[in-house]
Amino acid sequence: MSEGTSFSSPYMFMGMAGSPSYYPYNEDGTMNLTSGFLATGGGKSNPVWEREINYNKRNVNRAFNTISGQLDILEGLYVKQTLSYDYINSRESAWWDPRSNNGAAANGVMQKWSTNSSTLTSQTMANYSKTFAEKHAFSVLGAYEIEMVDKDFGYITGSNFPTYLRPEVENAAVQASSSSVDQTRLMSFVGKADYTYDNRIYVGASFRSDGSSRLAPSDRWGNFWSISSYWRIGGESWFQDGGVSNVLTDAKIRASYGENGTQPNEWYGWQGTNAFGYNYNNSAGMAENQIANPNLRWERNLAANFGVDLTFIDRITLSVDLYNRDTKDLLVRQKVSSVNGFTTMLNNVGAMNNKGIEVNAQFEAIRTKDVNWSIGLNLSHNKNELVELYGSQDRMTPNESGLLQSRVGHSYYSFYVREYAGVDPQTGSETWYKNAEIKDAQGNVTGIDRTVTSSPGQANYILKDDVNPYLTGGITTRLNYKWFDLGLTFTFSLGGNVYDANSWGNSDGGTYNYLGQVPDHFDIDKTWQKPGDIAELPMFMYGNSSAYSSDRYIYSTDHLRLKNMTIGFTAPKSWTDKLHLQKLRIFAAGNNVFTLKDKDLMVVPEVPSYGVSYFEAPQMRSFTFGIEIGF
Amino acid sequence: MKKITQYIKLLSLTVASAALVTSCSDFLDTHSSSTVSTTTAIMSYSDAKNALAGVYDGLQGNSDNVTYYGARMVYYGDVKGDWMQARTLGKRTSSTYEMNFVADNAPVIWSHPYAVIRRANNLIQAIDGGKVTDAKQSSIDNVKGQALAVRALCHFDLLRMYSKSYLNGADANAQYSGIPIILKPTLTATETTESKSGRNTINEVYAQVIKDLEEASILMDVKPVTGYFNKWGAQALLSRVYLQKGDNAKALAAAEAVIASKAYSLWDDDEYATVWSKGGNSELIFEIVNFDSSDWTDREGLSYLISQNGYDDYMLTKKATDYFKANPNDIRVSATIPTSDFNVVNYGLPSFDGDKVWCAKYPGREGGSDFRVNNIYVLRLSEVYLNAAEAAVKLGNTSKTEEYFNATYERSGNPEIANPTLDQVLEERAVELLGEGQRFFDLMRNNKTVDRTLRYGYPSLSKESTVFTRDYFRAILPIPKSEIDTNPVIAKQQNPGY
Repeated sequence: MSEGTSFSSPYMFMGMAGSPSYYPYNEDGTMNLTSGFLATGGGKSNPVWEREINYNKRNVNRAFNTISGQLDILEGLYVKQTLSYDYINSRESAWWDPRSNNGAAANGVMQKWSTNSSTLTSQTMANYSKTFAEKHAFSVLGAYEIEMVDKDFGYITGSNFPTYLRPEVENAAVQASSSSVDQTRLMSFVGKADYTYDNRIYVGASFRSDGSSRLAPSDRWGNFWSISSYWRIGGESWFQDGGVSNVLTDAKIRASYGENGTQPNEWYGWQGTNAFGYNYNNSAGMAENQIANPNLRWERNLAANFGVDLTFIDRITLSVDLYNRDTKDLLVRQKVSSVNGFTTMLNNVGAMNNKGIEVNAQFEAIRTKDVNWSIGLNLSHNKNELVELYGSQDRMTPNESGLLQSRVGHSYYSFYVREYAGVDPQTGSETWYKNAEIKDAQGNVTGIDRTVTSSPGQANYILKDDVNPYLTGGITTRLNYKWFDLGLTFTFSLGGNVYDANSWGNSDGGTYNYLGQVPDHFDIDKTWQKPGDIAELPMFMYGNSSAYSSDRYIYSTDHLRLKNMTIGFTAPKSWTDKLHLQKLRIFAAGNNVFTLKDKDLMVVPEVPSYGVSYFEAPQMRSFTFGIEIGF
Repeated sequence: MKKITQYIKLLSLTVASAALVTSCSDFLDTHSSSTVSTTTAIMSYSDAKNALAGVYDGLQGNSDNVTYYGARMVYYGDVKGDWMQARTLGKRTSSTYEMNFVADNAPVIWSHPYAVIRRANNLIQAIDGGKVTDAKQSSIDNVKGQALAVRALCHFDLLRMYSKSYLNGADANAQYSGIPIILKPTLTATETTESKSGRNTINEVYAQVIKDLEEASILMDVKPVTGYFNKWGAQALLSRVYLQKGDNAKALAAAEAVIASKAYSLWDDDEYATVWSKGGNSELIFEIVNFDSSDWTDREGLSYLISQNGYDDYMLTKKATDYFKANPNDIRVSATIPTSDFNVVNYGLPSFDGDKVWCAKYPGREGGSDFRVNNIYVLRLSEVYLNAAEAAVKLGNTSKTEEYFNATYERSGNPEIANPTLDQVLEERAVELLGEGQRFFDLMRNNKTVDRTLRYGYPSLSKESTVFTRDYFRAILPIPKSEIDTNPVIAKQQNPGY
């Protein structure tokens, strides 16, 4: 079922506005289709009824085939040809019964989708490897690769059915269909060379040239390269001989530098096209559906990475990575002025920088015959900045949400909203800071107007930078004691924020009061009641204006979550031997078991990366019990 | 031997993969099976006809886009006035009715008309560029004329919603007072992202709209064809445009040209209740044809919003039902009789004291199975008569006022009125064109106070929104935030108050 409101999903509606007085079955056991359920559709929005008679099913068949042949020409030199064919057939059908809310107006609707997609890849490769004097290992590789993706799509639909008992499209009075064939291609030439000295020192270089059908002909070939190296200091004899190796048992440093490319997800984003199906009055119609972008080119990432791997007393491993990534020709479906007839277009919009650090540590605390206990920790910090926007503007609204802005010098996803200033004690309405620039006679900005207004039109928007967390990470621990095992995985996040954009919950009783239902978090004791009240929440009143965007709805996503927990009992070997089994284990596992978070945050803190949450289905909390038997 | 077998295997694989690629450049040229390149899209008369269908399809909207004639353009002209209202809070029409909006949450009727303008411009440019030559000049002209007429309709609608009334003081020549006039499509991404169109003046927009319509009226056929603009469609729209501009003599002339053509005739009183489901009938000058569910705007569309069997979203005000109660013999009462009490009975919808509050002008296409499918009547002869009557009364031409006013008034079962006043003409327009998106613009044009005191429920309607004039800043819409954010030129030209 879809995640719509009362029509396409009565479940969401029930969750939001359902009343305890609703009942799915009548006293005599029949389905209640007449009373209660005050949504549009009345009785028919009974979710139990909806589940009974409507469905949406999908069948997917997939075959993945690979064939390869290799010819060894000389010692160390071979030529290899690999062909892979991945075929996916997906068939979906959705039925809206005429007796249901969704199907009533059209007297039943059947829709069927069929998609055949195939990916054929071919790689022709020559490789030469040779080790000289036992310590000098060389390897050179050249390859030619192609990738062909073909998608064949068909859709049929029928409505106005003679009987709900036979929901096939051919039985419908009104029938419609559509079909399409789409293709995308990629061609690559790859070269790579490596040299390793005694498994201690490594240097490598690679080069590739990729041509993509998704980019404009003049810019579709991109040349990319990388160099990388490591030095395993722990392999040096002076290291092993030195006193330090008693504590620091192994060490390695790594570095890499190179440029790679990203092609667009859209297959024809550079083409200026007209499409069909814009029919009118029984005449076939055509209309422009995309403006040409003859300069659409590869998005390029120039990445530098420096890392250290350390092992202490053979029990503690620590990896630290520092990176810097400069992205240019960022591929974005950019919002454009709509007076030109289109609201977005695919474009290379600017340059961005990411830098950060990642730490990964493992500690095997106890390692005995009966007890094994290990702890792992990972931390990552990333800083993102939009460095440049091409063209005349220094800011744009990212496609993900109008509540965001991407501005040069700030992180790509930044909130752009009014600044909330609390409740007006006299009127109980929301207020905001004006945040207007104060200018002197010469037009120079001399300050910011911090006075408060209850008129949303007078409140200027401010940029708030902290969408993405400053620090994220996880803690994993695993304990085995004889026949018992316990595993825990915690995840956490610090410094991020989310905009709870669900206006139903945020309207102070206004337009989106949805049939008079009051959201849980409008604690009536905290709302403004009478002039003079210093209240936390504005007056809650039927007919209040709809929610005005402001940082009132921005919440911290700081959280600690028990992501996964497993408890298991393994039968002793003496038992399993009797049963002629290799293994017998009983376990219980839980996902998303508990979460510590800001108490005001109504949504799950694992929100979309752009920091705006609407109606995302949260990750499920699930518990599993099982028996593992090995023969 | 083993090596040779291996070699053959490898060779055959390589040959097989090489066969996939005929040449490097062709291999990477792919296209969708359902598109053609814009540069070669319109090369013949047949292509031009396809593109023309695309232009009308744009007016029609679809289930994902109802911000223009799919729904919003029509209800905007009704619920912003005093004869229709949103039923209650939280409806699709509520924001337009309540008028509490600011720049970032106001109803938007902006990008959709501009998208239609682009389709029209593509077609006009192809014809002007000499790409369409394989048909009689008159046929080609007829296509171009229609594109011009649609372009004029879009510019005019945008102007009515985003700019002050022409007659509002000396505003018409004020800088940035109009809306951007777009006559050429941008060709590339760079051109599109860097084109930042500012607002023209109100006068410039009127001049362009009138120029397009005058030219269209010369180019197009005179024969009425259901669902398409013809010469009389352009003239009928011209009469509306001139009236809105206060050029009453020209409004009268254009209206009289349509009436004199005898291409259309007024519905008679017997058929009035039945015409709403019958497209292509005698009075219709331009209607948007919706045949079936491939055309419809589904549940977000006008028919579903206005129907008590759909979203029961908007309805008559007490002011409107009072009129019908006081004039029970007026045949137009029938246009507001509910087809059934389905929602009242089943879903506990209020019965509004038994008043007939539902506008039944969108009952579903005759012979169709779904009331969501209706033609949208954009221009019809009754409006032309009443344009003529309004123009005549303002020109002080009593005999013509009487003639044109009584044409619809008497037809509707009322006794003839001698020497009708402007207020009587406006009331007649309100009755005749109820639910067709005209009332609010009538009030603005004539500088009448919008008084929405007589309504059903809605205790929360703010004071400013209950009684207002065209000087109230929310009488026009704000340039939408999405435009302000992407167009730094227009960002400095926002309507005052927002």
